[in-house]
Order: sequence, then C-alpha cells, then structure tokens
Amino acid sequence: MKKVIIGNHAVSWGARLARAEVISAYPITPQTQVVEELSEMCADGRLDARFLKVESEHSAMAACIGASATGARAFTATSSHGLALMHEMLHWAAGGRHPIVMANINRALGPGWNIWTDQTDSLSQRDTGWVQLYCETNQEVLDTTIMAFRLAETVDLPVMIVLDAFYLSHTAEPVDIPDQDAVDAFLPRRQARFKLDVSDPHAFGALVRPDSYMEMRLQLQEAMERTRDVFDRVEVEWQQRFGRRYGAVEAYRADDAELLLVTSGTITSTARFVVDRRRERNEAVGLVKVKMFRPFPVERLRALLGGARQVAVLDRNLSPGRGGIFSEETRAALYDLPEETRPAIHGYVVGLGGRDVTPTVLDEIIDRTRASAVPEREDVWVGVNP
Amino acid sequence: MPERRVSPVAVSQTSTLVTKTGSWKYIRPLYQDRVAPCNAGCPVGIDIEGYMSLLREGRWDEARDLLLLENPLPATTGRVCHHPCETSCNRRQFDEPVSIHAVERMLGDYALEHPPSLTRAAERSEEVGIVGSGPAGLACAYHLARLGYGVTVFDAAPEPGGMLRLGIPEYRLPRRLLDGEIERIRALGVSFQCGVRIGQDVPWRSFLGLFDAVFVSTGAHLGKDLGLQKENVAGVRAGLAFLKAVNRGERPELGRRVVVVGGGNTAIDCARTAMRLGAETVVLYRRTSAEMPAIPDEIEEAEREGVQLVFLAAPVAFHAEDGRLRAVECVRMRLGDADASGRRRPIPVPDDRFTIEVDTVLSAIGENADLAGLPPELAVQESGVAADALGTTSRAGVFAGGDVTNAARTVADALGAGKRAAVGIDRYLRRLSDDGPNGTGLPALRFGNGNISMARWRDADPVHRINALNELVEFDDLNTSHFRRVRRRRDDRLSLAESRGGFAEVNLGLDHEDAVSEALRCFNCGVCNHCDLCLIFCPDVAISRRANGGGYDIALEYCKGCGVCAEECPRGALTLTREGL
Amino acid sequence: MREIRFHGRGGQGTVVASQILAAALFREGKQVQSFPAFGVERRGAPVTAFLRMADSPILLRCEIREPDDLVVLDPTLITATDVTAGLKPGGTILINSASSPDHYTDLTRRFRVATVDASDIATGHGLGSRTQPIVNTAILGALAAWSGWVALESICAAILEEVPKRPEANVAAAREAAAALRRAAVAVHA
Repeated sequence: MKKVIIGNHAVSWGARLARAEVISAYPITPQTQVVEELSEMCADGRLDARFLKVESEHSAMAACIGASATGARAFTATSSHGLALMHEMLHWAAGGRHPIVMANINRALGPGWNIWTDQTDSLSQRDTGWVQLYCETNQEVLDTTIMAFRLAETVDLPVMIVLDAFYLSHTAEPVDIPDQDAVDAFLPRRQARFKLDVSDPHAFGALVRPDSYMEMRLQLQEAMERTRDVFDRVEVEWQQRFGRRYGAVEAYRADDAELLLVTSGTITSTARFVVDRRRERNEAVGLVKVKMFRPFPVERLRALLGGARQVAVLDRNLSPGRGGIFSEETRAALYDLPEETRPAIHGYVVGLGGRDVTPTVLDEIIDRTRASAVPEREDVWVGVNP
Repeated sequence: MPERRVSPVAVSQTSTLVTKTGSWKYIRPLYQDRVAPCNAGCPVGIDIEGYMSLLREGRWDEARDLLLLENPLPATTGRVCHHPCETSCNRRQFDEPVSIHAVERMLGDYALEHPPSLTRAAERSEEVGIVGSGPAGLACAYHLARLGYGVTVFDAAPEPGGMLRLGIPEYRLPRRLLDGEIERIRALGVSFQCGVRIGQDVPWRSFLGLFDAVFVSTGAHLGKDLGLQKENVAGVRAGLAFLKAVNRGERPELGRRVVVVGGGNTAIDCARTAMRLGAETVVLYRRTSAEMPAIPDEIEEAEREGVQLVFLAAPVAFHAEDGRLRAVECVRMRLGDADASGRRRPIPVPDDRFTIEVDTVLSAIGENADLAGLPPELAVQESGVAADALGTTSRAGVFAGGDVTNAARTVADALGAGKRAAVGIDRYLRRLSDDGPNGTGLPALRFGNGNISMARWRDADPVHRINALNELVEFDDLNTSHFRRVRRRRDDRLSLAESRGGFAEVNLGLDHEDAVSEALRCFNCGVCNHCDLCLIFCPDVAISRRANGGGYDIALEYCKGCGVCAEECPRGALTLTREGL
Repeated sequence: MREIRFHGRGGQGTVVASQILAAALFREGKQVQSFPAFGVERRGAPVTAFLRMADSPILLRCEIREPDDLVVLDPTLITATDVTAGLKPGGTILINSASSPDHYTDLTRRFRVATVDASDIATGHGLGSRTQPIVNTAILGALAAWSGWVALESICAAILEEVPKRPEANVAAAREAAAALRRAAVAVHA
C-alpha cells in the first residue's frame, strides 16, 4: 500500500508493523506525532501494545528497559532535550544488552531554544553503546524502523533510528507500506536471550567487579563490531522481501570522482541534486552517504573514499572545541591509508539549528573545496551570516 | 562462538532461589484483615466495609444479604439513622466521609425490590415473647427468628413499628417502606399481636409463663413536663403526642404561630410537621446550634423549609387569656461550664426576657419510659430498666433493650440492643457460657469495640477473612497516596415548595450511579481487596496471588522484612511485627 | 518540477490542504513532497505550507523560496503579509475571496489571479463555523478547476482518503467551488 505520509507517521507505522509490545514515551516537538499516532493505534486496537504514559524521557527509557528485560519488544521515540534527559538510561539499555528501538528526531539543543533540525543531540550519545542509523527519506525511516528490531534482537544491542526534524518528521511524501504478513515473516516474535522470569529467577544488574567488567565491555565492543555484518545481512533479506536497500554507507555517482561529498540525513537528497547537476557538466563530483554512525563503518569508508583526491564532509552538528563530528570520525578512519590513496579531508559545518542547506550552499562547498589545495585546519562554517 | 565464562550482561549464574533472603529479616509482614472504623462505629453492628467491598465487585445480592445479616431495617435506617458510621469514617480525614447512609438506603430499597430468601438456623422448640415492636423489638424478633426460634411480638398500638411508625413523620420515612421491612420479618415466621397492652390486657405473671424467654422493649413514650405553671392551658401540648396524632392521620388545629421547645429530633420533627400544617414555627433551644442533639441534616432542612431557630432561650411562663394560650415568656440563656453530658450548661440571664405571641406550644424536651407498666420485680437503674450488654435483667429469662433501658435513644442503638438481646436469649436458652459457638469469647463477636456481629455469632461470615484481627484501622494506618480526592455526593432533595406543601419524602437519596460511586470511594479500611500493590512493590517477588482470588501468599523464606508491602498497603491489611514475637 | 505555496491561518486547514493536494497528485502518478513552514502553529496566526510535484523523484530537501503557484486561504493575508514574496513572474494566485479577482489590481498586474468564495461554500456545507469556516477542501476544488495540472476527481478521491470527518460534505464543497471559480477578466501580467 502506497500512502503519502509524514516522516513521524512512517516511524509509527514501522513500530506498528514490527508489533512493538511496549511503547513508553514522553512527547516533545518535533517527535510528538510519532507517539500521538502510536497511542491512537493502541487505543483503537490496530496495535496490541501496552502504551505507558510516563513523567519524563528518563522514565520512558527506564520503562522500555524494564519491558525489554521481561522479553518484550520495546519502542520509544524522542528528540533533543528529551534524548539528553535519557542519557543515563541509554547506558543502562546498552550495557544490559536490551534490544530496544528508539526513533530520535534530530533537533537542536538549547539554548538558544530551537526546535529545528541538528544532529548534535544524537551524536552526543555516541558513547552509550547504541547503534545509530540515520535516514534520508520517509521510506527509509519506515524500513529502517522495522529492520532495527531485527538487527537489535540479533546482536542484543539497542538501536536508534535518526531522522531530521521537519525535513522528514513533518514532510509528507509517498511511502510504500509493507503488508503485515510480510513483515511478520521478516521479523518473528522476539526470542530473548536473557529475561526476567519469576519461575527461573536470576539477579540482574548486580555489582560487577574489576575481574569481570572488562570482559563484559569487550563483548559489547564485539557485538558492535559484529553489527556491521549483521546489518548487511538484515538489509539483504529486506531487499529480497521488499526490494529496497540502503547500505550502512552508500556511494552515489562516486566512481572516478575526484571530489566526494560525505553527507548524512536529508542533506544527502539535496546533495544528490547538486551532484547530478555537476555530473551533467562533466565534473567529477560524487557523494557518499553515511547511514550508520555507530558502529562507524570504517572499512567501508576507507574503501569508498580512498583514492579520491578530495573529500568534503558536511556536518549538521558541532562538537564545540573541535568541529563537525562526522568529519572528525572520517579523518580518524582514513588516517592510516597509504599517502597515495589518502584524500584531503575538508570539513564543513552547515545547517545548524535547522538553517536551510540549499543547492547554493552545497555549490559553495564544492567550489571552495576544489579551490583549496589543502584543507583548512579547522572545519569551515558555510552559510553563516556576517 | 564459544560460550564465555563471563556473561555479556550482569546476571547471576545461579537461580536466585538458592538465596534465602528471608534469613535476613528481623521484622516480618503480618497479612491480617482488621476492622474498619465504620463497622466499629455502627450501633447496629453492620459490616459496612464488607458490603461496600461486595458492591465494588458488583455483587449486589451478596451485599444485600450481608447487610440483612446484621440489620433488619436498612431501608429505614438508611433514611432515619444519625449515621455515626460516617463520623468515624477514615475518609473524613482525607476529603469527606463516604455517604454510607445513602449506600445503605440504596441497598435497603434494593432488598425490598429484590427480596432475598433469608437463611435460618435449624428450627428450635423454644418460644420467645417480645413486648414492644419498635426497632429494638423488631431487631430481637428478626434475629431470634433467623436463629431458629418461634417469636411473637406484642404491641399496644394497632400496628407494629413503635416509634418508627408513631413518632417519625412520613416525610422522613414513607410508611410503605417500613411496612415492607416489617413484612420481611413476618415472612420469617414472626407473629404480631397488636392492640394488646401486656401488663394491662394480659397480666405480666401469666404472660411470662407463656414463653421460654421474654424481651421487653416498650420504649419511652411519656413526654417530660416543662415544669411551668399553666402547662395545662389549652394550646400547650406534648410534642410526641402531637406527632403521633399527625401520624395517625389527624390534622390538629395549631393556630397561626407555634413555638416548639427543645433541640432533639422530636423538636425538629414537631417544627417541620407544624410548618406543613400551615403554622409559622419557631424552635426555642436553650443551648446553641453546636449542642443541638438533633441530626444536623434535619436541622438544616428545617431551616431551609422556613422554621426559625432561636438559640439560648427557654420558656419561663405561659400567658393565657380565656383559658387559651396567648404568649410564651422566655428568658435568655448563656452557656456555663460543661455538665455531666459534656455539653456546656445553660444558665439564665435573669433580667433578659422576651415574649413571643403564640397559639400553640409543643414541648419536646425528652421522653421517659413508663416504668409503672413493667413486669414486677424488674430492677430499675436511673430512669430505665437495668440491663447488661446482652439485655440480661435482674430476672432470669427476662431481657430488655431499647429506650426502656438507659441506652442512647436512637433507632440504631435500639436495633443494636435488640440484636445483642437476641444473642443473649440464644445463649440463655442454649445454656451457653460466654463463649460463642466457635469458642470465641464475647469480645471477639464485636467489631473492634463496637457492636457484635451476627455473622460471627452464627459463625457464618460470608466474607472471606484473612487471619482476621479484631483491631481497628485508624487513618494513620492507611497509605492515602494511593487514593484520589473525590467529592462526596450530596443527597437529592425535594423542591422547597413540594417539601412544605405536604408529607412527601424530602430526602431523595442518591441515584443509583452516584450511590455506587460512593461505594467506590470506600477505602476498605483494614480489609484486603486484592489491589495487588503489595505484590507490585515487593522487591523480592516474595508475594504471590493465591488461587481463586483468596488473597496473597508471602514466601517468608524470601521476604527479607523490608516492610515495603506494609508501607504501600493502602488500607492497613498488612502490618509489621518483630521477628520472633 | 512545480512548487506551490499555501497561505492560511491556523485552524483553516492549510497544512492539510497541502497534504490532500499531495495525495491527489500522487494518485495521478506524480512524485510529491509536502510540508508546513517549519515552526510552531497557533490558531489564527499566519500559516504557510508547501508542495513540490514532479515526474521524477524529488531530491530537493530544502525550503521553497520561488514558488510557481500560490493558494491563499485567507484574503486578509494579502495585505497583512507579503504573500507574493519569491513568486515567479507570471505565477498564479488563487484567493479565497468574495471579491472578483479584478479587485486585486496590484496582483493582476504581475500575476495570474483567480478567486473563489470558499468561505461561503464551506459554510454552506457545514464545514467549521460561520466565523471560522474550514475552507481547505473547497479551495482545492477551485484549484483543480483552474490549474490544469490536477484533476477534480483526484482531489475528491484524496479528500475521501485523507479527511476523517464528514468527507462527503468536503467533496461536495470542492465540487461546488470548482464550478464557482472566477478568473480575472483582464490578465495583464508580465
């Protein structure tokens, strides 16, 4: 069934088709419609899930952890300050290896108080042990939400689906909504590896001493490393069933490109438009879209970016005191490439707090990069008013 | 991948069942039903909490039967009782007491519309005679009949009901309801002999010889004199006699202005009745409204209907012309120190007098029992027959209760006395000691320190009790954080015009839905109603539901005595005790 | 690619209008993208919504600055705000107004203008109240009659699909408005 729906409802549809069993969430702009729709689905019986109203995002995640610990499929959604408030519980979810799926609508953190898109909220949760998958279209949002459960429950890690405020959350576009039966075949009921069970009681979350903690962390790290391959397998199966695939990293007209843009989220779409125009003029410009941020797809990026002359990484986020987070990660991933294949990496900070990233902005980045023999020491801010 | 020694999550390798955390505890939870203060505060001895709990679960017939186990006249008491249960309701300290009287009234009416088949114990050969068919006599007859005895009730009046029929105005108690409730007693096999004054029509000596036991409940019908000159002048009447006349269907001529003297229910009944007969009515009371013994709702209704209340005033002289009352002279009073009853004593302010022109004075300052008409050789104490808690008098086989003794003169107290006397007579006829049939002593029959429970005496409590403890639950024993504040529903009232214009019932009670809402406001103090909070909060998962809704089991080998269950229990059904006590 | 901008006030159904139009165009096989002006909405405050339509997948994910067409759900906005900002020369403006399009001489000089009394039509079908009619479906009917790039039947089908409350009355309003469209007598545009 094809419908024109907003990105937030694509999230709701994903959680519904995945048959989430417990949904606990607290409303925040621009996420509100996600849970509004889900609560209606629960109320009118379209979704057989327990919907828990809670007093904060911290509680929402705590409730998801509790639900997940009993073996239930748990889902939540949040944004910005709500995600920040969850921070402690995000560690608990990952450390407890709870396969919770959460949608985060990228929104700037205040002050200045701002409800528009910015990736700093999700990227601030980089070290919590959550898988992070960024989306470009509403179709990708829906597909990724369902795949996220399969991925999470395979590697026993929580997964965050990330989408841009307004550019996806409030934008309606056609989405192919799969049949429930087909989704059920792709995503069977969760089989929890560890779960609370009163008939076989165990103690969970007890003190872990220095003699065991590192081994547990090592397994978390190994699960993250395994996630790259598992995600590929999940996507292949999704493609077989539904005909669509996104890739942890996607190359767009990247063959023989001298300059590769590295993007994430909705900037990617506009960048495709600009790349198309440049290619029409026979300029060797291509694009690499990063969908998976954690685990970071290091080998994939080395393979795709290695050999290009220049790479321009676009960051709609900021680690104050350093710069764009994707550019930083990309530089680290490519650092030990042989000099002859290692591209010059130019970092650009754009579109913070929802500032529009137009073809003009992208053209400026391309032109500026091509004109620079060596990258600036610090990331360059584009589209800033004087 | 090979299984690692360290689990990827912090989970114990062995089942926690091996860790008997119960060995840590030095306090333990006690899961015991206790007694709600409404039950203890009810002079009738009704398991109010019990029927509220049944109503909560929609078990109407069982709620009705539980109520009828203790109270033969719920449609009556739901209307005329001064409901001390509501005074003791713990909810009073939270928001407002549960409107218990309205729920009882609804259940009482339900019982008349859906008559139960009342259970009776095995038939016994003994016959009991009851003299006086007021609430005490009716209660005694009803309970004795249900205990299996043959019972005959005698009354001097043409119809049974005593003061309920003779004294209480129709607008407070429609007679068809009283008739219905008496009919239910008759249907149990109780026979009524009315128009017979024992001691006059039948000598006591021969009467006592006819029965294995006798219960005397002849009430108090002699109006007290005001003690003033010209009290016999035309226009000065006894209030109770006036009420009886109206209740017989007479419409006495009162004139334009009526003064009622007194502050009890008889005074208010007189005033409201006189007003209905067209008189301007004033109530003179020598204390203030705070000391007035009449039911507050009745006082409020009287004022609403236009009765004028004059406080701190007492009549001192009647002025008559041509043998007919013209005015009453009054003196102002002030309140002095408290008297024996705990109320402040009224003291006249000597020179502060005033006069009210009046056509009729109704005196309603109390009634005395007619001790002259009692069986001979019956010991009297103060102004009533001397009787103990079970109605035992100085004469073997003769029991007494109600207004003829020194008990508090309310319908509820009379019903309670009749019930206790039934137990006393049952013990006497079965030659039982103080122990009940199941070996419990008499105190164990009481709801806390309140009246006795017929369910316990008959050892037939239909409510499942969990290790019942005869201890009152006070407000501080509750955890009210689990309750929401909900306003008490007000009884519906007849319009003012309709009220004043006749004798139709004024208080219309609550509609069905509101009455059920009131039942749902009940905290169920002290009685587990399976709310699951203990189970939810127990950090050791040591509490589990019993099969068939029979409450909870506490696995003491895992309970480590944290006390959270007792802390969270909203109603005090879980308490803590020191280990080893 | 065609870009359309809607102007209305909070409560008139402006954003929903853009979504119904998107659904209608999607039924016709077009690629669509509709979105509100990103921000906070309040009843009565000016509201803007956008729509992109194309034959091939839409790659642009940025705001619309130079629309081809305007749909104005509240005539008071024409004086209250700069509705024509960025409108391409010769672009079209459809206004919910009881006046003739020739009343808007400032606009007819530069753009193609049509009007329809969508408020009256919506009220006639019991949509919203007399003071606050919900005009979005009516004006879409007029748009279908005028634009030439979306069929009235597609609009009606999309209304039945997207409007949860009283869809038939909304369809009737759209049909009535399509018949009531008034074009400018003189088209004096650049």
